[in-house]
Amino acid sequence: MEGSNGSRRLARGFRALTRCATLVACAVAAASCGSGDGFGAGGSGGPLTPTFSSIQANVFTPICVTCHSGASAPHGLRLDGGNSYALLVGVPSDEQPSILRVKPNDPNNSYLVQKIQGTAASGERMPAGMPALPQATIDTIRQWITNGATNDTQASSAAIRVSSVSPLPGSTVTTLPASITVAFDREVNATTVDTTTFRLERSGGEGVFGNGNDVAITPASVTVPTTNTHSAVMSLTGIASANDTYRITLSGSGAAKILDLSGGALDGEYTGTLPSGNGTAGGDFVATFTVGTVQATLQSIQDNVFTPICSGCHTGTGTSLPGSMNLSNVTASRAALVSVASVEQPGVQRVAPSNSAGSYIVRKLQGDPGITGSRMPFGGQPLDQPTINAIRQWIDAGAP
Amino acid sequence: MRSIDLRISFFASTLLLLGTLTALLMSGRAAAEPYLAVEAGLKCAQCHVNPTGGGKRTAFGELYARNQISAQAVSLEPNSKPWTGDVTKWFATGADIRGGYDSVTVPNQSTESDFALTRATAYLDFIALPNLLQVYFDEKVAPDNVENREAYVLFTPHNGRYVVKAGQMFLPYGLRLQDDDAFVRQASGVSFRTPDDGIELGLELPKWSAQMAVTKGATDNGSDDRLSLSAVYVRPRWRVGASYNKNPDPLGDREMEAVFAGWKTGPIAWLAELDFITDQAPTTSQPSNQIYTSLIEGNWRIHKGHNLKVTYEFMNPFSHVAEDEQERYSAVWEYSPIQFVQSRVGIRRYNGIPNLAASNRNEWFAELHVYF
Repeated sequence: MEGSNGSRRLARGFRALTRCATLVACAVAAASCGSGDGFGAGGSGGPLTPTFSSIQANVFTPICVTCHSGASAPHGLRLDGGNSYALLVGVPSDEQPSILRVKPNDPNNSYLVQKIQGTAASGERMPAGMPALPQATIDTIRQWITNGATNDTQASSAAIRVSSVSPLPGSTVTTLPASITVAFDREVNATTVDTTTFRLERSGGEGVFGNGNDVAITPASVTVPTTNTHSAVMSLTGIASANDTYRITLSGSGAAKILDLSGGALDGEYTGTLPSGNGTAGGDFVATFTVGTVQATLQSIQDNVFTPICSGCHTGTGTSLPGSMNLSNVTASRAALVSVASVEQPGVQRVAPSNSAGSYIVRKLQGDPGITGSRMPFGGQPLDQPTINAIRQWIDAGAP
Repeated sequence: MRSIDLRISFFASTLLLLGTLTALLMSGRAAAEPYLAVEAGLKCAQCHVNPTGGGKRTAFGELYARNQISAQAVSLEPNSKPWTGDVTKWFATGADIRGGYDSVTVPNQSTESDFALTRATAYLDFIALPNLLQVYFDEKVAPDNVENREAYVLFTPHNGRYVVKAGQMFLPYGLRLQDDDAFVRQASGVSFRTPDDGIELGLELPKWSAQMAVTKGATDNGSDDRLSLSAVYVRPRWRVGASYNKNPDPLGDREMEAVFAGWKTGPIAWLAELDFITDQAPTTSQPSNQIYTSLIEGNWRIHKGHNLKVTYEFMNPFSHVAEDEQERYSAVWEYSPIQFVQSRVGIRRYNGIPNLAASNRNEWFAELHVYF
């Protein structure tokens, strides 16, 4: 009898342990969904400063929007980037209509401050269900209101534009950089910047895009750094460098596009000058750069092209080509090329500064139709496209 | 002994499999009272004046708390009639008072602890015509100022088969969890914090409970009315339901869909809910946003008066943002020594994005809940 009771107790105990383990196991199994690593989250907008954009990025978006979003937002107060300013500043509180949610220059009489301080006459302290905001955060919000509660995201009515790109559009670099950095002229909506809207391709070797052999580059990441939310960075870590022409595209049109915090689309059209744009929101930013051994300088061209390849024939001796053209050093090459009429086609300059397309050397190197004689280098392999591009860039820069 | 072990092993394996599959399918969150309905195999209307649950308990609800939930039932006076909330034939009352201690630890910040009265609510039920017409009030009386949470006329013709509710009310949507901070409640915006004004029509059949509410929405901005639909099919050991909510708004409409379920496996009552929320942008040049949240909760009735609640919640607040998912784990022990009193001790672990410290906080709390 005693043994039977003992067995029952043992079984009950084991059963209890099993049930407990089951509950825990279910929770652990469910946990396999995993939380985010914050990689793409617009959860932090760099150091908190008393500006609306910073408060939006550091407080409203990551903390408040969980509840205060969409048409069901409590008291109709949406705190997402596209709506928060219009629903906060100068707007009467729904709970206490005699008090403005944000009264510029008067934080003590701003309901937002009262709610986050826990001193409001109605309702619970915000953020509900979370720890109170740190006092430093509250002080920063108060300071923004004291400063007039301006909206720095709408400082300009113009659309967001690209203000700089690294590497420079049209430049030639010797190896693929570790990252591509794009700067905008205002804070960008980090949630709209990803591998769909910030893309990189290379031409496939011939410097021409859209002919079927373009190579899409899959970056290691595309992020908006928390330390600079006016920029986007494409990490190319682990991407092998190939001598080729690369094309950067930032989407300002189509279904997926880059937006500013007000929801305005990128004004991206690029025609050789920055900032980008044509004054109207919407439009892709497209720019190229080249990876190659040769830089767009005469010295680099001399060292990598003229001296090792051309100067064997273009020696500067004799009165007829090829010897009459001296490409043996920088000084001689400049004298022989820049603004000098071609012997074969006297109406065309060998190097027409700022006009690579009209420079005979480029046509000879590319083997364009209409050239006299053979494609250069004579009897050798044509120069690769990045090298030709570098020569063109040097010419287009004025052939300095 | 070997046969017992085999049965236990089979039982545990089945539970583990069911739980794991459910968890993987649903993902989820913690802390709610609908498990009591699942546990009892009853509809919300059985125990609450409000047919969609929460608030004042019916006489049956008071007796169920006394006889089924509490470790021990005590009498107010020898041979006295148990408390049912009915003061007179025409008036009934009740209350919920919650308060206690909580401690929150945010990474790289000092731990903050606090004793507080969380919420005290009083219920007033004026019965104009028994079982047909009543006027119901749910008032938050503390802390701070008095706030009206619900106030409506309740008309229940055909012996409660039909329900008409008009006034300020909580909307029918998903599981009506007690925990307003649960992700499914936060994300949907349907909680005890957000009553709405309008009318609700309900149908209470033996196996079905359904509601349709038309309310003004979060703001009175001239937009179309908000529509809420919810239905649940209730069986003694399981139930399954679905909800839909459409909230038009000039700044962008919101549509929400939820599927939810409850079932029993031995002494464990399970709850699960999965929500899909779409926030439209006001213009086509702006992207819409989808929110996904889910909850799975297990309630193990360890012994009469004791319940262990383990919950897992998941939320993806921005569909177009990578790696911003959040999780919440909860484990709460609930002890009801007598009717009218429940103590709760629990821990919660938030697992969010690393660049927001508060979304990775840990909490523990001890709460005393007095109700009648």
